[in-house]
Amino acid sequence: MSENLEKQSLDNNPDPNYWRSFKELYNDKETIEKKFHEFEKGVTDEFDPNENLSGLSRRKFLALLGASAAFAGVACTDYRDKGEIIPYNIKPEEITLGKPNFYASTCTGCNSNCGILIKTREGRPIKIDGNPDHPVNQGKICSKGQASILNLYDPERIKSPLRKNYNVFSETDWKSVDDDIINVLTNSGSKEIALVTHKINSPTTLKLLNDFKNEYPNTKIYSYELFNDSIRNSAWLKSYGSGNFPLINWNEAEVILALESDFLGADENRIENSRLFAQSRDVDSKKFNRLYVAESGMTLTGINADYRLSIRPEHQLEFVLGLISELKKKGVVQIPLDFNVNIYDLAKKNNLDSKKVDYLINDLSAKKGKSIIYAGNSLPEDVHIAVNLLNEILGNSKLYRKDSASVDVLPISNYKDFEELVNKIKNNQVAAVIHLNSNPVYHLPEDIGYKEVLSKFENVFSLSETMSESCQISKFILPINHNFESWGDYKTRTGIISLSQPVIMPLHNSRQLESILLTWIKKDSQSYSDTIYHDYLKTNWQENIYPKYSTSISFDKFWYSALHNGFISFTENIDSNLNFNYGAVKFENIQSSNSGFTLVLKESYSLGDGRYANNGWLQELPHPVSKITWDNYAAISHSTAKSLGLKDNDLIEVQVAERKLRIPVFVQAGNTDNTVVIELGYGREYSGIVATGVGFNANKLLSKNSDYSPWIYKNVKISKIQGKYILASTQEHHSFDIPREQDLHLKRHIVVEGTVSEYLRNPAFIKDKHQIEHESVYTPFEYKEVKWGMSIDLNKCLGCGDCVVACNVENNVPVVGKDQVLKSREMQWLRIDRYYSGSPDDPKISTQPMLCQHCDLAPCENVCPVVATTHSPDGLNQMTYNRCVGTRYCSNNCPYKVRRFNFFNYRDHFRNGYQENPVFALLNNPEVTVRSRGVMEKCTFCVQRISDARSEAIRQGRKVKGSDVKTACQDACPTSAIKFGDINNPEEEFYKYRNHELGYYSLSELNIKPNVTYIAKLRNIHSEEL
Amino acid sequence: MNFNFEKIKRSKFLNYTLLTGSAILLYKKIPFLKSVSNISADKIIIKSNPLSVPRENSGEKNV
Amino acid sequence: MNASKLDFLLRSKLPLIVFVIIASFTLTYFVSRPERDGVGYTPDQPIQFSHLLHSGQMQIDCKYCHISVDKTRYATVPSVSTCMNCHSIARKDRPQIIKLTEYYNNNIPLPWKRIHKVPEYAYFNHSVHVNKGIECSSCHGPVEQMEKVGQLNSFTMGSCLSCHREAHDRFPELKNQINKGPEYCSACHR
Repeated sequence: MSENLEKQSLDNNPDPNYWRSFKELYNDKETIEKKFHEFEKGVTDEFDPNENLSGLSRRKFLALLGASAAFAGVACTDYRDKGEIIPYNIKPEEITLGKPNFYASTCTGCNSNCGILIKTREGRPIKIDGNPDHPVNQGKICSKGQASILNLYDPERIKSPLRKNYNVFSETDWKSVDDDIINVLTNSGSKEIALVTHKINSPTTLKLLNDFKNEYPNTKIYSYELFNDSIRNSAWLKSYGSGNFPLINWNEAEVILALESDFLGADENRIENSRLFAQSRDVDSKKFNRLYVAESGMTLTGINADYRLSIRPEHQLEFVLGLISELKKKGVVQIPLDFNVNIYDLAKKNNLDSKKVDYLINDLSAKKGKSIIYAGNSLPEDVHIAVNLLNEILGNSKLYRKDSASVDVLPISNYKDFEELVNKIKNNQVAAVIHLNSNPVYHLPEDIGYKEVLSKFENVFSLSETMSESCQISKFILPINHNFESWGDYKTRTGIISLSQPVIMPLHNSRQLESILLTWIKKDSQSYSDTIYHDYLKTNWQENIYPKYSTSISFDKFWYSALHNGFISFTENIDSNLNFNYGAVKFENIQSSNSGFTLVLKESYSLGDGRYANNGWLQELPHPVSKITWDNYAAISHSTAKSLGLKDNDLIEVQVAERKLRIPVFVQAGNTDNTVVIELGYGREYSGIVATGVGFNANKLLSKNSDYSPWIYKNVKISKIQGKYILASTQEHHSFDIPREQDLHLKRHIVVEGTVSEYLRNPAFIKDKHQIEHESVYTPFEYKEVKWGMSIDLNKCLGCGDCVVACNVENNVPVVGKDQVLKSREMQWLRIDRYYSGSPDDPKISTQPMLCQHCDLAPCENVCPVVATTHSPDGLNQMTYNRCVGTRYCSNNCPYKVRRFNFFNYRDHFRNGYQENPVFALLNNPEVTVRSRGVMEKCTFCVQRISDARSEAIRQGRKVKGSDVKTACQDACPTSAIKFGDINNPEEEFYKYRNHELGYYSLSELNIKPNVTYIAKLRNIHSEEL
Repeated sequence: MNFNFEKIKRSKFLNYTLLTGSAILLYKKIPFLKSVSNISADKIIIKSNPLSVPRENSGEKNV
Repeated sequence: MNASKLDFLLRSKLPLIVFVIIASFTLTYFVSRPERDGVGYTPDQPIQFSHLLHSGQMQIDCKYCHISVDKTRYATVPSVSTCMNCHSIARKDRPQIIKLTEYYNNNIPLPWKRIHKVPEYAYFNHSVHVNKGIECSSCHGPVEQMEKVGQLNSFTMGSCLSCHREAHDRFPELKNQINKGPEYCSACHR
């Protein structure tokens, strides 16, 4: 058969005969068979063209597709519908739609109780500013005050009273809770009722508590503050016999020595301190003070020091006594002393630069009576007494303010009182413990045993705005009004009583703390009404305060004007009996021994004692020195890290006596060797989605007994443990070891600095060194009318960061979260850059606020493919969000890297859409666009304020002036370092800063003509060279 | 190029148009957005306190 | 392709296709114009308020109700209490007034249908225009002749800009008071 086939094939083959294989040539059956199948066997076995077809043909499918598209298109709602516009039914008289109202009130963020103005729009508070009339803060408010508005709109505020049943909280109503609590209180019998609160600054609240005590005679008030000045005041009492430590006239000091004191930073009263300090660092009046700082960790005050000495806290006493001994040796002071300390020996032992010590002693001698030595709150009593002695013998008591002094409405309790409370609870002598807006479970040292004992105690009632550690162990949680929903009065200074008034009715079903107490005093849950505390406050003022205030106007007028102004001021005599008690001068244990590390626990710059942990803006505000966000850390020095083999982000265990804490390390240039500095206020639990799990709770290391001071511990052990914890910093270290990177900011003319002596000798030294005028390819635009510009005086800028938070509030800047900060995607329009120069043990630090420079020849404007960023005829670099497509070329081109891109809709992205909550939306400034994903944003020089100023000027029929506009950052800066105005108007104050002899532009050699002038920082050191 | 165009019956055409038209009009009435909005959760009442005293709006103050 | 097919294509199909394309573009342009610039939108309002009666016949000034138009960015729709200033007594038996009073007494929000709307990313400022002497009717048309208010002029950015550029031509009587309106972005787009 095959022969036949073969023959057939050979005969039937066409001409020419092509064959691909022998098998084909000889007509192998299989091969021929294969030719009819396109694919090998098994390749298309499952392919059946008719098998998996739907009943729908291609034509039908396309028809359906077209029909449904048309259907969907037509079914869209009426495209012309523009929605509804709904007016008020009854418009409140004070509201003009579109115009903000301002209410004077008082901030309760810390114990300084600064006066504030709350800006409201249509009944919603949207911004906090300082009250310009208030004598203490004079129009400025710190970053905590600025951000406190977020706490009002916190989506996690407790919305109604909670009752705990079998460890689960359930919502209940006020009547049942009030009835139950009144029941407990009335049946307390002889048992104590403990009220635990933070420091009480309100005279009316004190009166209310006294009324409470009258009703329930076994009431005892326990007030506390995690960071307080009780040691300072008790030392003053020992030194002078009466009164509180006085306020200081910082502006009159020519030499300041700060010992372990962060008086410009985290310590209290910093707004007033900063303002007064900056008054004598003035390039206009050529007045420069000299700041010496002797501290262990690098602080904000240390950044601004002219000379900084790195010294362990336990040597501070020796240091001060050494100064006194040396001054006596030089004959500057003549007093009998029973100690003699050689300061140069101390300096040698501790690697202090003896030259700096020389300078210090010479300055103190030369400026007798015009200097001040100031010890920090955390130092023990004998150091304070020594400092008081030093100030006294140098005659510096002239700088103690005699016009105003701090007062305590009620002195705070100490740890012993809390120990007694815990014992009483154990012995069943306490009926109820009531937390009045306080969090002792978190704040008190663990060895007092507060948490354990109260967890088992039944009648714990907490009055709080948000959940906290103390609320978690309570039986009832009662929501209280935020400060902006409350009435109150505050007295922290002689001669001033500040008032706070509510600007909004309570958003949730909460009540004012004092009103709740009044209901309990009346023993009737039905007696509550919205205004009971208002009436009580007003009555107290009418009976007790108004009569003492000498005025002829009626009480109602007086009350309204007090509310309008936010405070009343009157003369109050201060006990200025300043006779130093030399008998108090007895120092034991001058030399301190320490077998390990020293632990310094500090207050957080942004979170305070932890109360602002749930505030995203403050968590994301970079630490002024380390620029770390979202966590705390253990700061150690460069050499200590090397000797222990530690690097950044390594985990260590800090052990004080029996107490341990696991925490990551951060190598901080300038810290003292063998010292660890940790900030408190982190590691919160049950405190809200933002706060919980952030940072490490270093309160665990606190103890009721310390070998040095309540915040400084000796004989601390550090050991490296396994693991790493990445800290999110917005700015990296500079490497101190790489020569190419050293002093990069100076070499590249990002920051220009000088010394006072060089400036006084040659005022034009900046211009001599740096100005290079280039030609430009572009024809210059003529700015005929107003052209906006800004100047930042780096002599006054402390690097505190208040401007950053103010900008965040004003411009609806979102919080992005730690993971995004790790990718450098933080959205703050204004940032404070911090540069190091010098050696890691004694660095010089320069800070520079960096914002959009609104360059005339902006490199970002050229490269936008859709022309979303352009230049306005009044000098602003404008950003049009609706046109931006998100190319990010502009940010690429910006040499200052000030443009921020919305990689996500951060409001929807951060912590599961926390910021998309409708309550949160009430916070937004209606004049500023809320940006979504995919658009670029940056500082606009507060264009909304400029537009409003123009509109107001037109309404008044005049031209807009530069001084009409104050940007948010300018408003917020406590030292008034930022100035803003019209560069074309020679009559304005701003004009002289724009054309200042010390003024320079950052990166001026790029010839992009920025409009932010920096006034060069002058360090007041003895040499002309830096 | 198909030159044979299939004719549709007039009655069938009218039926189809009528049905589609009425379907569209009814579809536009369905409130889809109402199902996803939780209006009661959004209700926060903003009211200012009648007893508080605002500062007068000085015309010069930059807002 | 054979000659008859090509002939059919060129003489019949091609013009038909071209016509269909041009017709659909033109139709879409005109049909979508109201959506693009809003001209002609005259919706029904929950209360049949007549500007013809109040502004035209009774000659009540625009600013009596739209109070903040010369102070702030917004012109504002008057609050119901403004209406009740007169209508607590005037014509209080008429059905529309009764409806109005019901809204007022029961504190129900009165949902007027919005007609003039500039997109939210453009921050239009009424007071600047009013204080420079520009009449309400220049943009909103002769409202005092409208029984039911409708949008007369186009509110696209192009129409705003064209008026800004030809300000002196459009308002010759205000030649000394006004300059050309701003053409730069941040005047409206913040």
